[in-house]
Amino acid sequence: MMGRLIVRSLSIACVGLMFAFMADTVDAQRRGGGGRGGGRGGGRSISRSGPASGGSFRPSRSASTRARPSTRPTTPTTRPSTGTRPSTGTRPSTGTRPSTGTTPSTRPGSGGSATQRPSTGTGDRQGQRDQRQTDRQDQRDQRQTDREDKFDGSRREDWQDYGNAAREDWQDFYEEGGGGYYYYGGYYGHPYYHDHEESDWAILISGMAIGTALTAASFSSMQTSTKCTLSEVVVNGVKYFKCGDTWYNRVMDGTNVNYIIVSAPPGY
Amino acid sequence: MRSTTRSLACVAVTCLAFALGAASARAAEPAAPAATPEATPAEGIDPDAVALLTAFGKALEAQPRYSFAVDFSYDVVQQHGEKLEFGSTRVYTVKRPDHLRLSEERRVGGRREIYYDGTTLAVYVPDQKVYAKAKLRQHRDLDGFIDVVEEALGMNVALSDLLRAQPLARIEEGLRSAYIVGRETLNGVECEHVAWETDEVDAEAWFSTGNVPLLQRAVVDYREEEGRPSFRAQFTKWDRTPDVSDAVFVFTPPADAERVQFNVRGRNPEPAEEPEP
Repeated sequence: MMGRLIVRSLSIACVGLMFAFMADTVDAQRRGGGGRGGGRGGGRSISRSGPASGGSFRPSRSASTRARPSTRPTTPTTRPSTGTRPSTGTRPSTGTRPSTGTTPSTRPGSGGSATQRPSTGTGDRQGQRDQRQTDRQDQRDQRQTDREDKFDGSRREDWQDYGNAAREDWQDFYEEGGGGYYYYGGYYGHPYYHDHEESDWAILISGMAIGTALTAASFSSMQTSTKCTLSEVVVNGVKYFKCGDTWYNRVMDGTNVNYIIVSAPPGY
Repeated sequence: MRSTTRSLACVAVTCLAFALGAASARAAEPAAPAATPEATPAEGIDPDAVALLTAFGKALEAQPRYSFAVDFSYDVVQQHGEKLEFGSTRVYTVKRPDHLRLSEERRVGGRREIYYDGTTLAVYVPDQKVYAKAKLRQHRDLDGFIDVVEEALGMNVALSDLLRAQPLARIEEGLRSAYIVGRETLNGVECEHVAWETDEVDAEAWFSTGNVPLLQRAVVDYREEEGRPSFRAQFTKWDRTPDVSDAVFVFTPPADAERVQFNVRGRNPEPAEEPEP
């Protein structure tokens, strides 16, 4: 009798385990399948790019030594309108963190990090931990010093050269591509599409801030939330999308087709 | 009583088997070889390991053209510290010093075709029939191209270490340790398993044995990044004599494709702080 009870209990537990696994699998499938433009995820803001996405064997150049601008698409939380910048509720990252949508942060003391250790709460262990932390800090300081030495000693000129080259290339992209879209001066609501004027180059190079772009999914959800009637208008061969009073262009943002807010085309 | 014991054993075995199955199913993607570098007590730098890394770099550097396919995945640390894995499959075709073709199939759906012929870059999104095209005023080799598209256009040229003029050049400079784990077989290919450590990453690579070492798998653990995300890549279809005719690197847009502009990044890394919503 007792044995049967145990068998039954184990069976129930086993079935429960199976359901738990199945639920987890389904949930994982949902998460994994929610990738198209970040439109799913149960309302979560999912980052899809981070420092590991490039697969660099030596990430110092992109992740630590050089701060790289990042203007990943973000999900608007309120209706953007002409003359105001789209509210994203996010802060563009510097390329050292996942940067799609939000600036993720790791909870202090959370488990799973190889560099963090669980708190034990005892004095001796606390002392050991403090010592380890001190040691690690010393090691990091030393590594940082080493990196700075390398940078100062051998790479500064390279970087400087690189920086100059990159500026020239931007101009090149700008000219040949028929123009590029960019934001400057924190004027997020009015990205400018410049003509080939020499005076604009200075703005392009030195005075520009980073703006935001909407993914296709965010653009779609924005239409739903604002209940606007989307219309397409082609002006001088350029396709515009009009939602309420706001005008958009499609752009190639990295390798993604996204939407940016633009000023109304001539005549509108 | 014997019947009860048998039943108990049966249920227990079933549960155990299922639990193991569940665990293995979770671990199945990606299928990491049974390597445990953490358990390797190696310290210091093994010259043989460095020589293998260098040999691969030199071999790739000497290739005037090559192509490879790679299925890679990477962790992205989320807002609350949890990690999600994303990835894609890509085919790279390189014609040194300045031609690149990249075809990508993303897990989340959507193909991308990227063309570069030394001066002109084109990105095509077939599903949406949208493309962008830009031409550099002056010629850039692949090193210059990678730098400018990553910074100016925000493009992620994954595995760009393998596309540069000197792949893995000067890798020995930042090493804290490097050692050969041993011989292993990946998808029927005998490999030398190498691990190394720098200030910022723990990395592993599997190179095919033979005259020309070819990278079969790579795992990079970004130790200093929040949440310690990893990158994993499984390489297939190395080809040292791929088709590198001009048509491979020059994009001809379909008649019904729409041209859009590139969104050019600024140089200022930190814009004015945006208020929280």
